[in-house]
Amino acid sequence: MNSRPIEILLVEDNPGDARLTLEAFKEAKVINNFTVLGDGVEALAYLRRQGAYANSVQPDLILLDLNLPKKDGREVLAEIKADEQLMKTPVVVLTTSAAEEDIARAYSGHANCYITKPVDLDQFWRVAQSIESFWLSLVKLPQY
Amino acid sequence: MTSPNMSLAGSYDFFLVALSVLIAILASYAALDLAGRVTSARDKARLLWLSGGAVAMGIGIWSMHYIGMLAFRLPVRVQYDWRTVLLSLLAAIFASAVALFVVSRRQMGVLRASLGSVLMGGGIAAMHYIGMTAMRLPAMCHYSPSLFILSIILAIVISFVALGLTFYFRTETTAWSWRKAVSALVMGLAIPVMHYTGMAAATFTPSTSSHQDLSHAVNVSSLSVVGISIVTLMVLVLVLLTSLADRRFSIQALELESSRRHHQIIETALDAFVEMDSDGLITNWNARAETTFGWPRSDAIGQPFSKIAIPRRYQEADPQGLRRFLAAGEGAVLNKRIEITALHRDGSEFPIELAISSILWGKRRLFAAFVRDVTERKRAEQELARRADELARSNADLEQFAYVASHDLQEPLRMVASYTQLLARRYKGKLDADADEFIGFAVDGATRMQHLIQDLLSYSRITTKGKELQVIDSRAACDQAVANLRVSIAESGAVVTTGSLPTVRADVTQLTQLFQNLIGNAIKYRKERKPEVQVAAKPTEDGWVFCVQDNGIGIEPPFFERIFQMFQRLHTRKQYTGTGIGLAICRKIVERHGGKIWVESQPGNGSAFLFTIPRVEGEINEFKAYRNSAGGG
Repeated sequence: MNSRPIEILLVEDNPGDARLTLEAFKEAKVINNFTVLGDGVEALAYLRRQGAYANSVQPDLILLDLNLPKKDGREVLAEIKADEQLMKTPVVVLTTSAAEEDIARAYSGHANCYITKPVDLDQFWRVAQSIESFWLSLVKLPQY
Repeated sequence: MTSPNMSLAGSYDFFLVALSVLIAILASYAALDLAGRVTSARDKARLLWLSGGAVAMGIGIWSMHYIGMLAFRLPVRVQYDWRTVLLSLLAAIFASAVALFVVSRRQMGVLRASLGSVLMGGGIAAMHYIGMTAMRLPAMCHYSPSLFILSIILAIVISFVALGLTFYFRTETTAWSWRKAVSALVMGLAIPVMHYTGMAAATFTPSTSSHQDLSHAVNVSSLSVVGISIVTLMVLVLVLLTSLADRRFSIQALELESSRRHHQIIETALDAFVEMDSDGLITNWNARAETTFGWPRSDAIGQPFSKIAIPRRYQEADPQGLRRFLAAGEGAVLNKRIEITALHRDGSEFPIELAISSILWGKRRLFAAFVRDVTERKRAEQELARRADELARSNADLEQFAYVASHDLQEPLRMVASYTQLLARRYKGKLDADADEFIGFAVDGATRMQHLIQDLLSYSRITTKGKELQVIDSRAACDQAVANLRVSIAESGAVVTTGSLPTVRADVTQLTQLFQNLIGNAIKYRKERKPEVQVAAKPTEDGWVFCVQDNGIGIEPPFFERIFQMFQRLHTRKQYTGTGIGLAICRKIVERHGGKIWVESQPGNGSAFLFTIPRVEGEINEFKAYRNSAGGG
């Protein structure tokens, strides 16, 4: 287990959803540090340390919603996976869409996994725990 | 006292024989012609033609006979009893009347023809032999029985042939035809055959008996022969001329009547009728045309139709227009129905349906146009189209609404549900009892609304997001449904048994959902006992019928239809949860696959939900194979 907290970038335009995700991860055992951004353009600027984000902390994991203003999650994913520097950071697509074409497109775009947000809160909590136990505990993430 | 060698030798005057044959031919022709007149005449005219014709024909036949008699020369002085001669004429007229009557009937069967020929032949034979008894001469007349009978038979046979021929030719409309002439020739030659056979049957032996009754006897001189011939010929010619004249008149009368009738039909027609000459100038204009276009007949006639009835802008667009089409006598407008805009006298425009046909009348070309004002129909069509559009739009709106309701409302609703659940999770037992209860209601309501919206979404997706039907294994769809239901199956301890299921053309996702809803219901509406669900399929004439049978609570017959309607529920939420959309979804899925769904149930003894899926071409062999194997097992 890493001594420093796990850095997570959450790209989600709905504050309610963002907060819910934060709340769910509050109950996690692993110390985590969330950065929440509301649109795709900002997210890419953050990742590339552009503009106001010159001193941003590179995330260990990206939780990406698909339906975003300005630049949607599909484009963000494509840009991340086309960027030498960013492509190694695992991207978990976390969205309400269960559409098959979204799922297929996400994996074709090298998403590391695709999760449909459950409607039920308990199940959502379970999802958060699963992400934590898998991505934050079990797997070895690349070091910067 | 008689012996053959004592008989008087007779000889024939061949000029008179020829004359008799000529009269017979003329009389036959007259008969053939008259039959047609009698047939086409009605009532009084018919009676007149029948009697007049019978008299003329009778005179003809009779005269032929008498000239034939006179052609026979005996070496003794021959006189005739005129009263008997008159009687024989009546017999001839009777025979002719019978003949005309028979042939002018609508139908002539063998029986009628036979009876007619017996009467007619009998009449002619009677005329002949009565005529013979009119002879007053110092000799005895004897008949050879065989020739006598032969002559009568000939008379009947000839009558039969004559009746047949006249019946056949009676509808001939022209006064002269070669076929009629040839028939007259045959008949005219045949009639004298009977006569001369009858003459041959007679032998005359001289008699000294002096009690001849000569009180009414007259001498027949050569002058009389000429007289009889001339009168007869005149009568026959007169009859033929009358017949010809009558024919002409009746044809003209028919034409006149027919033209009046046509005029009447055109005048009272519900369509406007416009007749034009080759320049497009109006030559006829019926009453309906007056009301349709607003122009009285007197004003319309002589005007170019296109000028008064077609809006100017169309004329300018195609100045030759109608006229060019009409001049060519062919083209796009002829012999079909076209829809164009017409102009009323008051300047208003209205749609018409126009059918123009071209007639070559002598050397002139005419155009006949039927015009129908289709304003009402157009309006109705537009109204119909507008309503169809409206319906389509409202359906599309509904589908869109359902999609929006179920998709876009999901997001905010998820917030409500999630945060009420989060409230419950974090603060249950930390606030007061009321707060806990309120939060509980909020969570419950939000959750139910989520289910409702998800079901609505599924419902609207059946048509909007349905996939193309493909040949799939229905068993796989059923197995997937059972897998999806594993939690409730485990909780209830249900036993789901699946029989042999066929390959069908279906949307596998929807078929899975269908099985899932039906099996899910079978488990949900259970009684105390452990639920048992059987899924099976049987082939029918045109497809498959699937059955999902349970041992649950069953359904009352009055609700068999209602349960498939949207939002129809039979139980309170406390008894059984649900949105009332599940079976509506099932029905929509089945209908999309071209099948039917229904329920069979006895309350308390479980329900069987049955649905059909039609077979498609090419699956027939498979169906037979299945049937054979199923029949064996």
